Amino acid sequence: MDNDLQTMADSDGVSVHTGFPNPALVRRGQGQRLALDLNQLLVRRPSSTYLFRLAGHALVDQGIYDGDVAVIDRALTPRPTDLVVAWRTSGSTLCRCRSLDPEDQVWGVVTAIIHKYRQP
Amino acid sequence: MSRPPIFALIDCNNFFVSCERLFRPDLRGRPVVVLSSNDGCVISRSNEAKTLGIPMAAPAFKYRDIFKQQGIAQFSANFELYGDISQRITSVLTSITPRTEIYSVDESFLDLSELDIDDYCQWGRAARSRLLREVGIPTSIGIAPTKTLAKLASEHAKQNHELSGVLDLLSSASPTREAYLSNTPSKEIWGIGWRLAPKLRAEGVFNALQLSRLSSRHANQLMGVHGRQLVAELSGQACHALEALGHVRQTIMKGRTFGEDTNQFQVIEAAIASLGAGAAASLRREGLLASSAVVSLNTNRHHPNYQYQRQSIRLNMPTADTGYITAQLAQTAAELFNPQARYHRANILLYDLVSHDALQPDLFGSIDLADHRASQARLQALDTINSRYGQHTVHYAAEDLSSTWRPKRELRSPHYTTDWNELPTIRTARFSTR
Repeated sequence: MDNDLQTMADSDGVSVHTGFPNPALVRRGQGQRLALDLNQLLVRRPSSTYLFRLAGHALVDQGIYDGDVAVIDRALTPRPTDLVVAWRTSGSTLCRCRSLDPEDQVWGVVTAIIHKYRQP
Repeated sequence: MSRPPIFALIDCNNFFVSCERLFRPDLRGRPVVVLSSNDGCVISRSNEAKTLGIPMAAPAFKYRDIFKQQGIAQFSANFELYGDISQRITSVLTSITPRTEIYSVDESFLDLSELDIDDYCQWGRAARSRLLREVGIPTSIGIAPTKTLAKLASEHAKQNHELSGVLDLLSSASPTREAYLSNTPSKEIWGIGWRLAPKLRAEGVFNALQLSRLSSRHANQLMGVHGRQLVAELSGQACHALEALGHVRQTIMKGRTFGEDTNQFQVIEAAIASLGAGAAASLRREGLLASSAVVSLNTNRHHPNYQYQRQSIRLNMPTADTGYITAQLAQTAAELFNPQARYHRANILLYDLVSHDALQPDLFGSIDLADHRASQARLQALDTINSRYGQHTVHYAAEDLSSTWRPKRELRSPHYTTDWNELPTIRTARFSTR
């Protein structure tokens, strides 16, 4: 055994002595926690998922705000109602797929928008 | 009995440029170059930049005017981005088959022999379009019974646009393989460098087909075992197997060119300390400990009185401790330092690496384990803080963060995928046209 006592650094970088590892929280041999991980909910395919920061107020009536983070999956085939990241010669936009022009290229499909209601 | 291997080499086209273009589609079709970490020379070129005659490793200061005149977009290397994209490619490939060898940041070998594939060319096209669509990076794929042939096939797949990025050289029956071999000059064969090519020319061997027809005895005389294996590989007999996944790396090397040549020991010491800290962090990330190290210092080789000094040291125990490693390296640099010289570059190398798990009390009886654990915990905390809040949030006092030697990366693109503060920004729109 290389560690009989676990030492972890918390978010402030302060060392916290957590005592003996709790077997209920530790996966066999891996030392990984079993607690829910938001990545499971938000990122189905890490290899094709990219995050973008949104700018502008055009979609506020749809609950999408300036400063939100969009989760984009490039592996998905867009449906007309999907929100997508599209590239065109004049620049890039995030909008509904059905409102694209035929020459616009879909870069990826939005699978989630993350909005923080309170800053720390 | 296991089946004979079937190798696919997946090679990312102009990889660093392709990573930059992923977040800048406006650069498609435009000439682009990526410069090394000190903005010293060209390390990746788009096809358009190649067509304009920009050579690989072109020194940036010589070509600045040409870049400007020709409208060539320049980027400083963004290794955080390239590393992340490379891992995405690897994870897609590993999902196809676990029999994957990451050969370099932009090349991987796959062994396809365990997969049931009818049409390898079609398989290659599907893999290629998946990587392009999902990760966003164009690739070239060569498929063959040996690694050397797979590499050769991927080069042709890259050059010849009619192949749509995939070349299958599995079959030796058709005249196709011979045609490609005879179209490959000796110097472009994997493993034939600038030193061997003239030697082969003298023997009347100008291309891969001629080389593949050398007798193994003759090849052995000319190039030793390496040459004999090369000839066998070119004729379809595999000599090199897939390297096992997760094989332990043998060395960690880090080096830095100073912003300007220096005779100040503090500048050198600070650089060495920071390189040491980076190397020690790499060790810990990979669960390794180093037992030996090398420090080398050199002056500018284009100036008179070129000096190159190198000192190897043995660390008194296998370690990944930043404080200990940097202190040892700095002391070695002090011994090498000549105040009369103007230094251009410093390098460090850590070797004799062992896995952290191999450190057993009975193996290294003299090590004070309690001390070792305290040091591990301290370093883990340091790594956690730095990975959470960015490199260099916490660093040892000797690490100098001044601009004298830090890579110039003036033209670096954002860390799009590795820093919350640098995510790509996109405007929302009700309609794309307005």
